[in-house]
Amino acid sequence: MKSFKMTVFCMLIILVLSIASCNRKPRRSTASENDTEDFNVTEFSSLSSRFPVIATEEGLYYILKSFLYYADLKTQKTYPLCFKLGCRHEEEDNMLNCDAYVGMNLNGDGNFLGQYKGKLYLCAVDHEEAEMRNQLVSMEMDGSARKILIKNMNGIDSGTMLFHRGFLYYITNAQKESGEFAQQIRRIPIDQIDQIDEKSEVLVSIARKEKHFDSGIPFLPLKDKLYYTEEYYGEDMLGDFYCYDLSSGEEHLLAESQLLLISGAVGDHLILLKSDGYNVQHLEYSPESADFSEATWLNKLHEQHPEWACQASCINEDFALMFTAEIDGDTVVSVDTDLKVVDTHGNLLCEIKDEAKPWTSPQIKTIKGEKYLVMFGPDYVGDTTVELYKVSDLLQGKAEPQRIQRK
Amino acid sequence: MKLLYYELRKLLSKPVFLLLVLFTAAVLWVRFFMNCDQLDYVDRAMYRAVKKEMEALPAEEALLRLQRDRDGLMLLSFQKIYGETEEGQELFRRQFSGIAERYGMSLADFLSEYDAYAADDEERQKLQSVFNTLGEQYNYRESYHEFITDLPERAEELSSISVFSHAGSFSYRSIQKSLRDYLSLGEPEIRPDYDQGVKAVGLDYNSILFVFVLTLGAAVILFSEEEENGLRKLLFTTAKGRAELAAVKWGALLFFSAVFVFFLYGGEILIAGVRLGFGDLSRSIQSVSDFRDCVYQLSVGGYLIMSILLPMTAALIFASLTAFLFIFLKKPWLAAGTAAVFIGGNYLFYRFLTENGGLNALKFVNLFGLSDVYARFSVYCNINFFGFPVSVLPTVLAAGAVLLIAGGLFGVLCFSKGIGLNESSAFRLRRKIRIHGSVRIFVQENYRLYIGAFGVLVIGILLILGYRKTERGERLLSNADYLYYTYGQEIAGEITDETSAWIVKKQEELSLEASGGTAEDAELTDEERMEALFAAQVKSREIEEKQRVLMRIQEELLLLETARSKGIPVHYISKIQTDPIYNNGNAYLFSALLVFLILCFTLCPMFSQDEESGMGRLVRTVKFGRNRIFFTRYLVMLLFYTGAFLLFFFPYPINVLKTYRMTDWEAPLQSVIRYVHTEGNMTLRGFLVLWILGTYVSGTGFVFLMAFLSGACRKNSTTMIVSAVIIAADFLVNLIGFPVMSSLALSSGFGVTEILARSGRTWVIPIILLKNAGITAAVMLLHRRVFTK
Repeated sequence: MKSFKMTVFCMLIILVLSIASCNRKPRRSTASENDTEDFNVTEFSSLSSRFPVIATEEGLYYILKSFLYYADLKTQKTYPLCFKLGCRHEEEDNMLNCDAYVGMNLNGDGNFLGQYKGKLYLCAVDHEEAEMRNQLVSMEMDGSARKILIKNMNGIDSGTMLFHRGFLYYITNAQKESGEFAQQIRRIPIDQIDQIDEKSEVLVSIARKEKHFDSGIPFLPLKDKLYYTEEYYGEDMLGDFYCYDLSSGEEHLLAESQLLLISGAVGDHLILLKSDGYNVQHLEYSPESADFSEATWLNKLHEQHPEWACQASCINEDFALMFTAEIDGDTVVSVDTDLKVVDTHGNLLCEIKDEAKPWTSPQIKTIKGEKYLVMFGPDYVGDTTVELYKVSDLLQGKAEPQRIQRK
Repeated sequence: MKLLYYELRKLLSKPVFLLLVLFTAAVLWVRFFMNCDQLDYVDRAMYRAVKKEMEALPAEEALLRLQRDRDGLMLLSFQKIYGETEEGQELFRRQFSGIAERYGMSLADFLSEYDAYAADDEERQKLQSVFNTLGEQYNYRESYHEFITDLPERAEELSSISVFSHAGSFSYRSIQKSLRDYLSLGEPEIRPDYDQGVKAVGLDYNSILFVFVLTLGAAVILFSEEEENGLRKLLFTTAKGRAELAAVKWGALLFFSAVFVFFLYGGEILIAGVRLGFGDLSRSIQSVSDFRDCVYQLSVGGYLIMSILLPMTAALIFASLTAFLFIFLKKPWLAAGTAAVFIGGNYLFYRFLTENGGLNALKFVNLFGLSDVYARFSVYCNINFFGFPVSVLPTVLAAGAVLLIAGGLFGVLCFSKGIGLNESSAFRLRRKIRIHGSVRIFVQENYRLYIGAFGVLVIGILLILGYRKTERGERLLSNADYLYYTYGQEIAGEITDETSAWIVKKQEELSLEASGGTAEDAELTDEERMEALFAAQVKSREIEEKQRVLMRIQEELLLLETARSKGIPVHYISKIQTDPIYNNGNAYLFSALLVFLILCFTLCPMFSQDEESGMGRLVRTVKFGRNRIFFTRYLVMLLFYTGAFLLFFFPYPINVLKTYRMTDWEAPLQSVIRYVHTEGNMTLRGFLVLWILGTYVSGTGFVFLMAFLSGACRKNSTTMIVSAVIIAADFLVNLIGFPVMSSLALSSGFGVTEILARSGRTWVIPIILLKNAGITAAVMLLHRRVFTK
């Protein structure tokens, strides 16, 4: 009996210690000092539909229609990122066996695809379970060595996820201990994502009862600052614009009672859309001088060409892309057929006619030292076509894309 | 041979253990039988008749014929759905005449060919499913040929993609190896046949867990009996016979584990054969479409044999390792605990590691991986061994063979040389620190429970588990759930006509918002209109989401309306609030099972400790004191359980109430969507009270059962095994989900939310409560009678 008791005693001790060891106190999260890579602001879009693209020297990765694709620059074809010889990569097939299958995104408006230290990070459905539940996984660039980092993404808006200086930033919808709901901007060191419950750090918390974030990514990290708009929930469409200092943790109110949506960044300047529902104006914000000024080049353009839609979907130091609207009498027919490429002086450089799909968030990517505008082409609905426009060509007024089609 | 005979007799002479084996088999077979029912039903006789007819035709013609007949029967079914009115038939003609045109006929002429099937709906549906199945099989036969023929080209193409083209990468090597594996197969002949039974076998890899548990039980009996009888030292007196004895014990355990697999899995195959059928056993396994990616030359019959052999290999490996653990660790419970941790580790690796992960070797070289016969033969994948692809099945079998032999060899060596774990200094220290008992019965029994059987530690564990279960921090909700919750709060309370009006009003508001305020449009300039468009773009997604949430609420209100129409004053309460309490699935059952398995450690020795040491007889010599001892022990156990209940089970509903802010307690039970069709009057509060009471009574029943078994089994080890298995089996019966069986289980008190949803009658709850109370009282009275006799 003594030996029995001892055995039970030892087992219970082990059990208690193992349970207790799981309950560590969270520490303030830190990223490696070497992680100074900034978020590529040209990937930022104030539109909610995000089509994340990762560019490497050999090709581009992107998620479309439930699959992770690889557009190979060598073969000029696009393939699902799955090297199983027998796999048909079809939804009708046993898709959970396909390595490229990411499934429907159930966590927010957009999907997430990131690259860090030679690994891909993305949001995908649980491949081991029939039930549809999104997970955050990492994998090698060839799709092998898939590792689950976040088992259940419930409450985490994957469309808001982005990497900046060694951290993953994202938004959660959380019910606080008091019972109130809040949206929170959080971050976690990338190499500690698998400990998200313990290591995530809440940067900003906003009670949801009265206010909410606009759809899409409502924040933008720029160097050691995080800018975000806290929109009032209601008819007035007003809000406050804040800056959160990532090093000191201090929060500064930059503008109040006006809706300033972050539209992008040019160099050190933020481009903001000032809107009260009907009237829209572009502003520039300089973090150094803490000044708001009119983004004259965009506004001038807008004045000259009122038929061009107000929003610039892709703004960078070279050019901006403008939507075009078609008006028939008093009715606006559509806004998404053509794109205008304009330089920073407000001059029209060229047009991308009837081919661009602006809702696919055009992005600037650097491949082998050359800048490209990456978009999805006209076949996007039926099949997958990636379109690459050389920025140097666009600046010279040429809009002839290199098309990579689905094999 | 005599030694072997005696070792085998040890188990065969234990009727309780044999009954447990039978009971486990029954549970597994019932579960398998139910799973068979979930497969699409295809009439076997009809299938054979149609197949025979098709085999007489050339393949292409047969395929066309199958498609044509399938379309014909499908159109007949659709014609019935569209009704007999002229309008309906016109619509039917407009929509489906295209299908008939494919065959160069008018719709009427085409349908007239199938007039014979128009009257008997059931017969037609059966035939339709036969045509579907055969059509799919014929199509598969065609596609398989293409699949095999195209492989070299596919491999070349895949290898040319830049990201897969690096010669030293896992992906490149994997593509090349896959091609070799597929080509080594040649092109097996694909012969369509009835295959529902083949698809059902080998699907549930969890079944091996039952074999492991039974093997563990057998190991305890084979290895610990001498220890408990004090015969161990006697066994070691003859040094030369030790190796033989160890080998016999090892062999006996392996024999039993193999028998368990043969018995349990063989039964499943028999059920599949009788219930569903396998078709021609000599055809290649690739003939069944699920096994297209199988790269082994195997027939269907061979697959069925493998579906016994692979789990049997897993069981033998486990048995060999368990035998070694029992010999080396010497302490039966330490060995059993280690083996259980080993099983748990295997399960976790298999369940949670990804197939394509860097650590996928741990997923495949794994007892559960080996037992997952269906996956091993239906999915093609390789182990990533430092960037080299390695075939799964040969690797896992080789590793298994090494473990099997090593377990046996080291076991025999340790037993014959007396090598094993010695008492550590910690054990010796423990002896010096003694807390003394008392001559007062109540104090002594408490000492026995809390100190002797480590009840204090168990309470500590439950305290930690209970604390961890409580939601102390924040809860993450999706945007849609948040909106749903806030809207739900706006209409919370009794449903009235105003509730419907609120929905309509909200929808109108959203429509207005979506249109961007048409009333003002006339006064806007072109420029302003353009700007308004942008605002609409930004808002459109939000509005869509709100509309979806409103639709969800509207659907719920429609359901609640059915209860309201019966005169029940139902309230609207969002599912976010009710689901954690009333729709928690089997989470509460699993938690309860875990707690009772932990309680087994502490509560089981309460009676058996005295019986094992012979003190039981001494205690019972005082005739008038028997009752006192009996009731005092029961009281101590009950108080202990009450503490455990308050610590672990009770915080759950309390926590839920606090977090989810339910306030509408007087609302009828039918206000919960899943109970909307339930008959009978009961408030949410009444249900919650009955539920908490039911769990307490059920738990008390298990505690009394442990006490009874403790007295009946007379040995600690046997009591714990029997108690653990009976408790697990009882919960399993509840988890299977047959309404009647679930209600009969003692654990039904923990699963009343599910039972109520399935039965749809509120009176079931008090009946379950009374039944469990009756069982609890009966167990105690029976035990008292035996104890005081």
